Amino acid sequence: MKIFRLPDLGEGLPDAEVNQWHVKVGDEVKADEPLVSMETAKAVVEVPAPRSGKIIKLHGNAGDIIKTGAPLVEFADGEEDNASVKTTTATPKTVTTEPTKQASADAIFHLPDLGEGLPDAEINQWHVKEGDEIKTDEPLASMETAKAVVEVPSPRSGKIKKLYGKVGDIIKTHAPLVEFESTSTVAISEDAGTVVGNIEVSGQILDESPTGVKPLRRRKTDKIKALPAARILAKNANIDLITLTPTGPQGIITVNDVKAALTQTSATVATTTPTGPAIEGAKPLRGVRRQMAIAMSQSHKHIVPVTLIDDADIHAWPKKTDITYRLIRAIVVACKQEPTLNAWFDTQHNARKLHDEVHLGLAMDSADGLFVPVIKNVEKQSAKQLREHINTYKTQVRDRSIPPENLRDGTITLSNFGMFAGKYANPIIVPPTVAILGCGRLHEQVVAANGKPEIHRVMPLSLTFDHRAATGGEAARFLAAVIADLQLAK
Amino acid sequence: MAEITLVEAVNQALAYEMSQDKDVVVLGEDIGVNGGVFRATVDLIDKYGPERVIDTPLAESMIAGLTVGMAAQGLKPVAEFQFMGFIYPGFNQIVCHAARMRNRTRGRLSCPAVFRAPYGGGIHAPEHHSESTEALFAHIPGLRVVIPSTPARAYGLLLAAIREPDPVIFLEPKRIYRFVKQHVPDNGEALPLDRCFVLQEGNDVTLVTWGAMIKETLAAAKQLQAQGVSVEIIDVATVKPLDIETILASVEKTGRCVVVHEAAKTCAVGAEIAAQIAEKGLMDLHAPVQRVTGFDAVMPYFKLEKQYIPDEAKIIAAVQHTLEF
Repeated sequence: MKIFRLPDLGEGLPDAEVNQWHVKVGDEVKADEPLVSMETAKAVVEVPAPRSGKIIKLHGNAGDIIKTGAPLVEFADGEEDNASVKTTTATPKTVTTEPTKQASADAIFHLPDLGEGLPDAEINQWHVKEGDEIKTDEPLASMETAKAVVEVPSPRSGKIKKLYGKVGDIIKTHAPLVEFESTSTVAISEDAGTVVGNIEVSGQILDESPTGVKPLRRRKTDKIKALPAARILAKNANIDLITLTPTGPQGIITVNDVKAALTQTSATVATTTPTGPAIEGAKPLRGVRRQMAIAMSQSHKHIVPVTLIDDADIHAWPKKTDITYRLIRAIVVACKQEPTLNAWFDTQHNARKLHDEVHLGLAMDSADGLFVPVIKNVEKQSAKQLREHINTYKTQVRDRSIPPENLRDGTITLSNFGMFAGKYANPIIVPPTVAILGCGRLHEQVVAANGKPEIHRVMPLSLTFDHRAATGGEAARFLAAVIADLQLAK
Repeated sequence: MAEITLVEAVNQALAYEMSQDKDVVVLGEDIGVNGGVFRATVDLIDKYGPERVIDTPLAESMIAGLTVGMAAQGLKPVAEFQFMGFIYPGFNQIVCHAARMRNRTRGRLSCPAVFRAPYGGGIHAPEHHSESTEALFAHIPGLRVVIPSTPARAYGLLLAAIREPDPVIFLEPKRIYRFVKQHVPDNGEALPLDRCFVLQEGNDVTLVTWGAMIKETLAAAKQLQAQGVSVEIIDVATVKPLDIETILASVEKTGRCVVVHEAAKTCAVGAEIAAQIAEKGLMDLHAPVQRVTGFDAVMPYFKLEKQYIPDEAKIIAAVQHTLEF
């Protein structure tokens, strides 16, 4: 395109006034850059360049009125102006007066209204004859109206098939004037298909079902559902969601689920790989001491401990009563009455398991660290059997010969620290158990007996229980049962 | 049977239904003799005469009012607004009368009307010719809002819209009026309203879009697939009522969703989709729902039009964001 003509800036606007040029002769413009501001009856409109190129002429100065379809800008290069199609696009309102039949299959050109509401016109002169090839905008005929003689241009290119009328005939407006050889596709392609702008046209054929594809509606049961906050927390902590156990409604992973996994991880990290500034000269823990450190810090991280203290009056005991046996017996009795403390707690799943049997972990001090050997089924054993077990464990702890299976599966723990010193303590629960009973130093003290002060032998007791697994009432009833059994003479 | 464009499919559907149902009439500015500003109604006046193909004065309020009256009294009018930007004088008739006719008369009368309008930008048109305000109508109870994206869906959905006993806003994406052609048998088979169409199945991300944005979305999906991203594409087609179940099922599978629309962002249909995913599909999300939309600004003239309409690069960037979240 060499000459750019003013397009219709509205819908059927006849002209527009040059408001301001944005380019001058000699400028290089790119496509879509503004050429000029034009003021129409409706608004001031920026007219963009239809192409890139060098401008060699501007038609009109600010204030001049340019007719729609008239030259606006001339480019340095490009094909000589063949504005037929462009003009059709640019003056769409002429389409209204030209029969729309152009777009349809039949190829008859009807006489357009040559003025404003003129009913007819007389054929003054034909410029073509049947069989002629004619190009768009070439004159078909001179028509004489009540007002003037008007050249009627051809609306399209094609071969003339028939002329409707001879010179001197009067043709009614909208009556057939000329028939073209039927090449309707030509006519359609010349129709821009819009009165404003440009519609993108492509010959691309779409091969697609009207209803699209039918997706596989997998309701994947293994699909992980997680709160977005949980997802981001897990991602930042580098935790795979699949390793987590959901506790939210409908199996949704919650923020707490991720946090639970986080504390577990950090507990391991804290005890296995030391963090923070190293203490000079400190030696890493090994073996039993290391195990104790891990078990205790895990306990500290997870368990919600409550410690309950009280005394058992053991004044009625005969001489040489086996203290440890009596403590074990009292624990067995209390476990029967209040089984919630003879249990394991699953931190990850917030689940607990109550035990019918009592496997008693017995805290034993040694030079290497804390040992908690387990006496299985203490409820089924006699005092003598228990004493033998305890003695065996003492020996095995001392010479480090205790089999690992005897250090596992305790359901409740007894710590008899009172043989050294200390009345009360807050004993630490060993996961996954939920209770530990501590026995302090036996001593004599003044007690109220039958309304008088008396000196009795008493046993201080400290019961720590995991409040996630048991209620305060359950723990208090458990301790009461222990005391009641301990206060029996035999 | 030749392949036809979207606008030709609109014409084909109108012609088919007019031939089958004498109650169907079409009306609008320049739709008769001229054949419509985009040629959607070309030749109809020759086939069915000026009584059923009515050239109206330039008065959209009257067009809408006439349509409501004809529909309430037993005809099935299909009104054309030359551009969506000119529908607003008829907004009162559509919202206050068409949408609530059934409710107001307690079911005695209904309003089986279709209000057609070309919508959206991208054709270098003047002011008022380029906006996408489908959300205005989607917000109104009693209206269906349907937007086809291919010739076949334009045909099937328009037939369904005409047969629908309640008013339908039928918005035609003019930017792709003639962009592709498709084989569309003139068999009178309607497509279901009220459902989305899954155009392509994928596992990594769900792209939800409608209208002309299908073009950029498909192009973006092609590039993403070259990078190994498996993309599911949903053409919403009926933005009101919204078939959220199809979208939720997809998001459950992919865990990521990017909504693409040409309309300005605030309070648009994309906001509704994102909200419903948040309400019903939050636990499936691996990343927040992203919206790739036009700007909260007046649709600009030619030069900035391309910057306004979301392009492939913006869609791809939003998808990458969800993947890297």
